[in-house]
Amino acid sequence: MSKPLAVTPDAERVVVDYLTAALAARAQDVTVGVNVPSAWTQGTKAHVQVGHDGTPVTQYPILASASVRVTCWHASTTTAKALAALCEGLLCSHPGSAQIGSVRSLTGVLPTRDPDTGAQLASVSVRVNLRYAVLA
Amino acid sequence: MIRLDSGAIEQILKVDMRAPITAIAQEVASNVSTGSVDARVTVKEYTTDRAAAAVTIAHPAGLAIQAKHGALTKAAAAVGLEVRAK
Repeated sequence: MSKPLAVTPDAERVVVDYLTAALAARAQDVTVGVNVPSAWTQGTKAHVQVGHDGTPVTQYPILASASVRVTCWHASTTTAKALAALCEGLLCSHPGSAQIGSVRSLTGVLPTRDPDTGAQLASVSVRVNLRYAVLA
Repeated sequence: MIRLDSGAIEQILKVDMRAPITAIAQEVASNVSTGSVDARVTVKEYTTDRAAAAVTIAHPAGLAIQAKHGALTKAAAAVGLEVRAK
C-alpha cells in the first residue's frame, strides 16, 4: 500500500501568524517575526522573535514535532519576561487547527541580555505538533 | 515472578551507558554554531541516578547566542534530541 504525498506546514509561519493575531487581540503593541533585530535600540517597540530550531521527531504522514523558540526583546527585562510568559501561555493553550495539532512547553522563561544591542531578552521554547497536509 | 536486579540496572545506567551518552553529547557539541563569536563549546560528564553529560557554550554571550539563534536547540535537534526542562 502506497503512502500519500504529504507535507508539513512551515512552523515559523504558523506560529508567527498565530502570535500576531493572539497578541493583537490582547492589545499587545509588539512586532512579531522571524528576524533578529540587529539594529535594535532602547526605543524600539517590543519584538517577538520566532525561530524554528529543528524537527527532532517526525511520524510521516501524521505529525511532526518542531522545536520552536520564542525570544522577546525589550528595554525592560520585566516586560520581556512577561511577554515571553504570555507567548508561552498563548501557544500552550492553542486550541488546535488544520495545521497545528497541539503545543507543549519545552523550556520556561529564560532571561538574558544581548551584548550586541543591550536589549533584554527572554525566551521560551515549545514543541509544536504540526499536522501533515496531503497533497492532491 | 520477576525480580529486578537493581544493582545491575544501576551498573547499566551509570557505567555501560557512559560512553554512548558522552558520544551523543560530543556530536551535539560539534553541531553547535556560534557564528562570529569565538566561543568554546564544552562537554562535561556528570552522574545523577544515571550517566549524563552537559553541553555548554563557554562564553559570556552563550545565553544570548542561544536566545537569538537557538544554537544549542538546533544542534540537539540535528541528532533527534529535544531540549526540555527537567
